[in-house]
Amino acid sequence: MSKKVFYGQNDLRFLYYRYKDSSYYSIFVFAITFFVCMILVLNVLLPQIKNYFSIRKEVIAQRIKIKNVRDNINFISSLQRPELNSQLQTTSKALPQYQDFVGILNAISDSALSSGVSIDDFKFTPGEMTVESPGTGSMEDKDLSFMDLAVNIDGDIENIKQFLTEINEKLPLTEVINVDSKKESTIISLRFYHKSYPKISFKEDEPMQPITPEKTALIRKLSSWQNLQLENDITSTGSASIPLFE
Amino acid sequence: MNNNINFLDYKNKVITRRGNTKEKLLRKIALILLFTISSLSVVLFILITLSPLPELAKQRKAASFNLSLADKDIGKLILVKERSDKIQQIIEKRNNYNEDLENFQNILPQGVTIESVSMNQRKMSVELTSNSLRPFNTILDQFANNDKSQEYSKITMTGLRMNPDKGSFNITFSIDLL
Repeated sequence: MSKKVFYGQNDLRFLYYRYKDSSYYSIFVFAITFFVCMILVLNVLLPQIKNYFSIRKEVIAQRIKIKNVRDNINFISSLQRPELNSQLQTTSKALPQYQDFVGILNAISDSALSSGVSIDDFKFTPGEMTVESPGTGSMEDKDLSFMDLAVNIDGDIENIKQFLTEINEKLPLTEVINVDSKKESTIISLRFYHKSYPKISFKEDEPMQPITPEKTALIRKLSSWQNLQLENDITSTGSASIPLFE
Repeated sequence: MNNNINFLDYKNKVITRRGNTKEKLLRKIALILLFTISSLSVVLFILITLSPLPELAKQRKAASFNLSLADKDIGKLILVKERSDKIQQIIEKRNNYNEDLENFQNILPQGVTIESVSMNQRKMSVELTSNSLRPFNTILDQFANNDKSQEYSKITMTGLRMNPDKGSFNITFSIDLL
């Protein structure tokens, strides 16, 4: 009998009846079932497992983000608004957005008053933008701007020392760049800093941190300088009796 | 009935029985496999459908809205932190020439006055005057003292002259400040 068969419907039926009682039939059925199961595992089950775990991961991440947002809400609600406003005012006075000419003149005159020196004249060099080159100043910051001011003062070495101390404790913040003191007069170069407000970017799901105790202490120190300045402004008498300008 | 007249081989019966056991086992394995895979698939489908993601998205939207009501305070806080960072940098890095001058004055003995002083870029040039050379000797001894190296990295004596009209001596130093 020829073993060559044609795979048609009758042929399949013939094959079925021929081999259904043999062990080959069971092995064949098992193989087919196993093959289908593998296809199901690879195309259905594994993607579903992957999907489930990614959803679980996303759920955990979302819960953390929601917790952070709620913590931020609680943190902001607990802030003392008057204190925050005062801190903003102090720090803006110390490092203003634009050049504070009135503040600069007040700082110089208050320092001169406190130290007992007289101011002859001064020269502004406004409008300079950093980046500073190393060695000329102390700051390297693309956003930090400054204006240099050369002040001609009269006084002995003790008064000049006192002036340098006083000017360092005035707002807006100053840096003494150069001191050139001779018998006749002293020229002091001062640098006043200012910085534009940055673009504020805030991620709501990142935990907000309070102002550190060190920064709070710094702001308190700046505020004391500011208060002292205000007191000097209030208690000082007219310029006619004080030889600040000659 | 006598088994010897049977045409069927006794051995085949044994083989057939073994084949039945194996077939049953294979069938069981196939059924278990199918059942497990389909059950897992259904369970996973239910778990995915019932995930709390939509509810969490709603909660997050509500929380974001509440936080946005305080955006001015958030802006102020960020500004205060940013300003205070920069202020701290400025204060830490700026020159303290008053302290440098004070430290230098502390080593001057009696009878020496500062004629002129120039301070720039962490360098100090100072001219001292005295009626005698002895105080200058004291100053030079103090500079030679190792303790001063903590304040000054380099000290150079750049000049020594006598002013016969006034009867005084002048000495100049160039000092690199630390």
